[in-house]
Amino acid sequence: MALLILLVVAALAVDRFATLSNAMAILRAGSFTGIVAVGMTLVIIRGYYADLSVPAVIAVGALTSLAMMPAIGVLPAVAVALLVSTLIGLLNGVIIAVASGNPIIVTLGTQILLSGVIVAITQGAFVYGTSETFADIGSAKVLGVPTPILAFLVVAGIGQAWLSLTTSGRFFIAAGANQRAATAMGLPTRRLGMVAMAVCGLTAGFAGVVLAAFTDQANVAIGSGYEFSAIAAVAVGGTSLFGGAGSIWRTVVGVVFVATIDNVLVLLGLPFEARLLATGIVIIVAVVFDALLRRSTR
Amino acid sequence: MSGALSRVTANASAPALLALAVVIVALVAIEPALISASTGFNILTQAAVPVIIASGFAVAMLSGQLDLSVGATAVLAGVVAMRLQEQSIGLSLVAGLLVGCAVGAVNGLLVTRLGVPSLLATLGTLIAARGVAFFYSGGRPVQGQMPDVAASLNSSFLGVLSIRICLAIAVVVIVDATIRRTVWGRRVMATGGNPKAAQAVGVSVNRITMQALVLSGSLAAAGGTLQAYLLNSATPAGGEATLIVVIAGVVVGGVALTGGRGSVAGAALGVLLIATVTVGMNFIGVDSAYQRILVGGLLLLVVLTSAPQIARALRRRQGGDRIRTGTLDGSSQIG
Repeated sequence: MALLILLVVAALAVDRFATLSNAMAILRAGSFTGIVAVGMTLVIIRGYYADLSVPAVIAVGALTSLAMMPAIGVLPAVAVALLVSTLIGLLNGVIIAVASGNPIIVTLGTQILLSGVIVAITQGAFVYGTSETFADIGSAKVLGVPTPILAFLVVAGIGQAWLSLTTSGRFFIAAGANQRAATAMGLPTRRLGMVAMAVCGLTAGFAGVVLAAFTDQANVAIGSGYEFSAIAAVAVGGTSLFGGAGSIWRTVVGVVFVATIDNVLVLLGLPFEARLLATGIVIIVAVVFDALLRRSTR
Repeated sequence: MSGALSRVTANASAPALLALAVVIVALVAIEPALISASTGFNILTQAAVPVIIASGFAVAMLSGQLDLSVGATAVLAGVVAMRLQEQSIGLSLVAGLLVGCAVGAVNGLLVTRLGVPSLLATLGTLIAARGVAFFYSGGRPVQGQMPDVAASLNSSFLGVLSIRICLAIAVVVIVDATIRRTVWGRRVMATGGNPKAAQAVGVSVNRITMQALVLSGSLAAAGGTLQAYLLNSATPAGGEATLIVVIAGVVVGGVALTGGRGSVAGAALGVLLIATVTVGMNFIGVDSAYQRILVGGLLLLVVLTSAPQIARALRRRQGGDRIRTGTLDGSSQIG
């Protein structure tokens, strides 16, 4: 609903907004955040608040795929990048589960550690693409739709299907809604947490690969800011940041919403910094609404 | 003296202290010239601002709340203070501190009125404060107008002291004493240790929580403002780095992530140790990337070793207490 209002107001008030090419630009800009946000949704539904290691994992995905490509070819490089990203996510999940660790502290630790490792290896330098095939795929359009958008839609579709159509998907919601009850019922709540973190690592790594294919270059900073825009998209979509309620399609709406605000700010000629401010306000408003809603339904 | 020391280190994370001690010994072994008065001065200088921020952060954590917004608040306060400096010093200082009160109050309202977990509330204000700082500064460092003030603030006296070091020591001593020796401090500890019991014996848990978060925001802003005056400039980036050093220092220094246990002096010691390692590594010329690896690794090490089952095993080896047999979190037993 809010998205509709935003779209109508933007279309009426902002020149050059209501064009097909601008719509594609919004979706393409949002697709990278969107891929991350699918994994982030799982993490948040499971009740783990957030994965702050996303920027480093995006960089790992992008840098690994670009750096390995000359040696082992496109597909194996992408596979290795996704595997490494998933393992990092799994490591987060294992530490959180085994040590009953605080997810935000743990993923903050991983983020610092990992970005340190990346800088130690790359010295902050850019890694450039070497494969024309890879870059072509990244900037290709299928039936007029850029590949990053397709990648986002596929990831979101798989995520939503898993969450709503499979038993294990329902378990995520149960574990996030009431961990003790879910544990008492015999649900593997800790394992579900590990899976959620691993999937978030996978999607962040995949977002890194897609970004790398799209821009044909990457450095350690390629993923910065995506953790916050992904959380904003999840929150504004209506998935409870407290866990236990939400869906991927809501996140898709949230992604479009956040990307639209971004786009409008750009069309209005406002600087990049206004974007950061908008993200922050969106998250605060979403948290307050969420909290008010929970109080009124209790 | 040894009694005071053992009190400070009583709750400290033994594995983290050990790891830091090993690194420090290794650094000194590589470069014996590290042991000097100027190194000591450098360490204290580098630790001063994070120690001020960590004091407030530790109080919030003792009361059971994690304040993730301290880094962003410090950065925002610095930017505000620098932008208003040309109007007047007084306005700049007051506005800088008010930023912290405001962020702390928003955190407190979200936590106490709306029941938002502090982790979530302060993550929101972190992002918002960061956004405001970038917006207000145009994304560029804000240059101050008073290089002479910065110079006099930075000048050292008595060899190992400077104004910032004295301020940091004063903050730690006052806040530590307030927590240990005043009724308010006891209430903070009670709120963090067992909020229900505290409420039952008449402590207004909500009010204490609010006050602790406002204090945390204010001291973060004080640290940020001081930093900006010291450098005569403020950059909208870098809040994340401050947050990391503060969190790592405080948990290494033995303040329990769950609240109610630890001390402000311990937190200051933790920050000091991390500054020691950082200064040592800089001296030898170790890439700052490895410092990030070390701090990130320390954070994970503390989380891992403070896990209920592991902590219990460690305590058992030390022949310590074994009173705590379970945790409140059901997830840690079955899974």
